[in-house]
Amino acid sequence: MQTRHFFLLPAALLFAHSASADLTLRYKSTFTVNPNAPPMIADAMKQGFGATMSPESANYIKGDKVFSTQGPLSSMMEMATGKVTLLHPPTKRYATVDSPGEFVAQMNALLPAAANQSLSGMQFDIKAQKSGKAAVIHDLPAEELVITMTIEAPAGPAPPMQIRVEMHMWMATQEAMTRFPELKQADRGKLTANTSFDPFSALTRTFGASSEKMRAILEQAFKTGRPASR
Amino acid sequence: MSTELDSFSSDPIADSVFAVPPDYTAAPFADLMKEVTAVKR
Repeated sequence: MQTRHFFLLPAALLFAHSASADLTLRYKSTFTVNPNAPPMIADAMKQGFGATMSPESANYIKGDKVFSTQGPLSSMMEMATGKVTLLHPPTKRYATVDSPGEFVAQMNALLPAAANQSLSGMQFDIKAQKSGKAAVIHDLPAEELVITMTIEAPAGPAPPMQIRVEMHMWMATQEAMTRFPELKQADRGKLTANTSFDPFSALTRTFGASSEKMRAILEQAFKTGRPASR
Repeated sequence: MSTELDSFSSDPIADSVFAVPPDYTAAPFADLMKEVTAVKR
């Protein structure tokens, strides 16, 4: 099974002239299931992604603060402190965690023990390379980075399964960052610098020891701090 | 899944966007996450 993810870079600020300008990015998303996917997998994906994915989302960035809306939950993050606040507008409730690390821990705690065990038994392989394709998105030079991840689940109660995921990410080029320094507003590297939070470490902890390669690839892919999808 | 930029703006954003609205009440983190997983199927 193959799933493709196409992202378009937050090509910001055709008109802004200040690196400290506020930034609003609005996105639209669509979800389709590969027609060759086995019916059981296709149904699971429709019920999972299809039921929870919002067709519209937005990021609002002002200095070190980011407000994001997607689906029934909104979130606020303070890059300077790492504080994360979730908001649920339909019920007018909110919850706050003091750091991204605590956020990840809370998310992992919500996973059933069986799911954690299942994830740790899987084998991952990941590759990232530039496709050589270039584009100008909203006057912004960008280049395509393709990340391919293969997941193999060993045979258990269910037959063995292999899933391949491709992520096509359009990254701002260095030229774009020079021409539009406002893009640095969308640089999530600020969070790492300000809070010592290591998102790759959190990710690899979730997927077990076999994912050290994933960590290395992701670090290499994003070490420039250039904004990608969002 | 395809996510594409629809629009962007550098217009000023009100500070109130980054504050919890006064009529919201605090809740456990897990309770809010359940709202995501309990979407209608």
